[in-house]
Formats: sequence, C-alpha cells, structure tokens
Amino acid sequence: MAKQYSFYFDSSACSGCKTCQVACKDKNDLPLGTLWRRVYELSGGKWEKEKETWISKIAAYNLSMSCNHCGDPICLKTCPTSAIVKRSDGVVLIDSNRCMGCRYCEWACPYGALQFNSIKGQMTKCDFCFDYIDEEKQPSCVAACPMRVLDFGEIGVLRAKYPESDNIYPLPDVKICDPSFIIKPHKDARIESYNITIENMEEVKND
Amino acid sequence: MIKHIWSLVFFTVLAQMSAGAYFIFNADIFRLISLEGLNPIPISKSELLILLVIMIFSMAISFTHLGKPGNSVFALSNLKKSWLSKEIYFMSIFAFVLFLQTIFFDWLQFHNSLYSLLRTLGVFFSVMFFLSMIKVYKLKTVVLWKSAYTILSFIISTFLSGLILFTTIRLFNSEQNIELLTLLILVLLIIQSGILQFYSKNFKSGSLYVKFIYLLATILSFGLLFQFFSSPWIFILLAILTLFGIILERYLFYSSYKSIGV
Repeated sequence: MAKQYSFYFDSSACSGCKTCQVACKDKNDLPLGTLWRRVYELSGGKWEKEKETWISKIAAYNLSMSCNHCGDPICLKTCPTSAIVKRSDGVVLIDSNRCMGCRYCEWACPYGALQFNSIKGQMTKCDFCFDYIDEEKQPSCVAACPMRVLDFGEIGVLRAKYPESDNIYPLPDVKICDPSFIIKPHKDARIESYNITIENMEEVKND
Repeated sequence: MIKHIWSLVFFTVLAQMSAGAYFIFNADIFRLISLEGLNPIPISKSELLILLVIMIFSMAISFTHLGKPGNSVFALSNLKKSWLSKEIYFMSIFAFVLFLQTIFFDWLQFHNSLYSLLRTLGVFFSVMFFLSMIKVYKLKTVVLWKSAYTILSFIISTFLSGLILFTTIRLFNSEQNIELLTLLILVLLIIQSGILQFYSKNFKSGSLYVKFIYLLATILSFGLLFQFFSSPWIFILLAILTLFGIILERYLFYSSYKSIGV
C-alpha cells in the first residue's frame, strides 16, 4: 500500500487559540487574507423547554483544517494545467511553474484548502511542510499547538494510534475526495440537527 | 461569492453566442431537419467574420480572469480528467475551424466537399464546446451548479443568444423569415424564464430584475410577432434586452457559488 501522510486533529480538546494558523502563516510568510490552515469556530443549537425545565442543546467546537492531501484529490482532477501533483508519500503540491491562476480548483475543493495568492496570481495551499518532514521534523502547525491536538504521520499508523475517529459536521462525505485526515470528534460535532454554523466567517472566508 | 466574475460572465455569454449562432447558421449540414424556413440563405463571409470577431474577443476576455496568463500554454495538459482543459481544447478547435472557414471562404466555395467537412467539424466542435462548458460547472461540491439548472440554463442561453445574434445579422435581409425566428426567440425566452423561476430561490436578490427584463423582452417579441410593432429597431431593443438578461442571469449564477463543506 502506498504511503500517505495525514494529519490528526482532536476536536474535543481544541481551544480555538489559532496558534497553528499563525505558525503556518509565519513559516510560509503568507500574505494578508491567505490561510493555509484555518480554525473554524462552529456553534449552534438552542435551549429547549421540557415541562418546567430548560435543557441546553447548544453545541460549540473548533475545527482546525488545512489541506487534507486527499487520496483522490478533486483539485488534481480539475486542474487544466496539471499543476497539482501528488507525491509518492501522499503529499499534494502545486507546481508554480504551471499554475495559471484560473481558480477552478478553489471552486472544487470542499475544504477551502486552495487559496489564491493575489501577489503571485496563483493558487497556493498547505504543502505539509514537506521541507520539514523530509528532514524528519514536524510540520510547523503540529509543533506549535499548545494543546497538542495536532499530530501527523503515515495514515495507517495514525489510525491505529487514534482509533476514535470520525468525519464531523459540516465536513462533506469522505467518498468525494477520500481526505487523509483523522479527526477525533467533539461530542457535539456529529449533531447536524443543532443547526451548527461557522461563527467566524469573516476570518476564514475572504469575501 | 466568486471574485472577478465579470470576465467569466462576458467570456461565457459571448462564446456561447458565437457557438450558438454558428450552430444555427450551419445545422442544416446534418440534414436532420429541414431548415429552409429558418435559414434559407447560406452563411456569407461577413457573417462568419462577425462570429469570428466575437469568438476572439471572448477568448481575449477569458485571459483577464487568469492570475498568471503566461502559464495558460499548459491548459491542455489534463484532457483526461479536467473538463476545463477539454473546454479550452474544444473552444480552440472551434475557433480555429471558424478562422479557416472565414479566411479561406472564397477558395472553399470551389471546393464543396472540403467546405462541407469544415462546416461539419465546426458544428461538432461548437456543440462539444458548450457541452464541455456545462460539465465544467457540474462540480459535485457545488450544490446549485450540480443541479439540472446548469444544463438547462446553459443550453437554452446558448441557443437564445445565438438566435438573437443570427436574427440581428439577418434583420434587414428580405429573404430571411424574421417572424419564424422571433417566434423561436419567444419560445426560448419563456422556457428560460420558467427555468429561472423554478430555481430562483437559490439566487440572492437580483433574480427579480432578470425576470423583469425577460418579461419585457417577451412582451416585445409578442408585439413583433403579432405586428403590434413593425419597426426593426424594436427587434434591436429586444436583442439588447435579452442579451442583458442573459448576462445578468449568468452573473447571478456565479454569485450563487456555495460549496459544501467549509
């Protein structure tokens, strides 16, 4: 079986401090508005009255998401210039010598991983700090996390190490792109009926 | 919302208009239907030139959407999997065939079999071009674009804009049956309005303006058909209104972009 690097994220313990987001931005010298790793604050739900008692059905949790270096990357399939390539270790990279900045991959990716760099006029995204992992160091986001909720490694090893994993709301069906991530869900993260919304939209979407 | 969408709006609408008009001018090549009433006169060099200029202009506009146009030389690298690559491929071939047909028009009149071959190729690639354009937007991660709206709207707008251009070009030609063309435009306007009405809840405010424009255009086409208006300038007004409606609807289409997930 081919090697596949993957991130692990523990949503149940993430404080939403965004240190991972800042570490990534610092390491890659990203311009204003470009976030290769994004921390989403998700919340929703309401209080419900049962007889004389009010029951809290509030959900709030954080989600730290970068590129998931998918097993079947939709960005790679849609790119007309074949600028998006997948390495033998599963890391998905963008070749800046080929990218023409059409932004088609940005439309296609359901994880918001592809970010347009308006200075370069090209698409950019998390590259798994491939320079660090080639030197057997940790990616900058993993090393920076004060809560130790991020980890990385070969996906098979991570799955054995962290058996409590699941896809969480509002992430799409994993069958679309076969994302390479392991997420330990927050207790509320599966509850679609809570009508959970992304609260910090102005921080993560550059409309 | 997608940024920098106006270049995409004008590129897609103008390219569809050229491809749609080309199809109408040349569809009799397949002899599937008799188009004597619709298109009794063979296409002329000046008419081809108009289509070519519009096509070249739309392709030039498409470059302004790119962040690094110099790398567009690699745009045909992923023909196997990328519908955008295929769209660029079919568009390029269609434009090239149109170019050859225009430049060598006089010479081709004495080489009928070659001219017929070029026309057949042109019709084939014009169809493949706008079908691949539809597939570009059928992304499984964008709910509205994945729906039947994309297929229906793009097909109808191709033929509607193409018919508008075709009729405008032939407006002052006494041999052309303008009433039949106006009837077809009316039918397509009603269908396009119906499609928009069915899917309008997916658009932000703005669909009301498009519906109003289509309504005005429908009234004008009714008036022309039943000869309440007779001036050809009323048709020009109808053409401008319809094109404006298509452009605005396309803007709403891009503005409605919303991906699943985060």
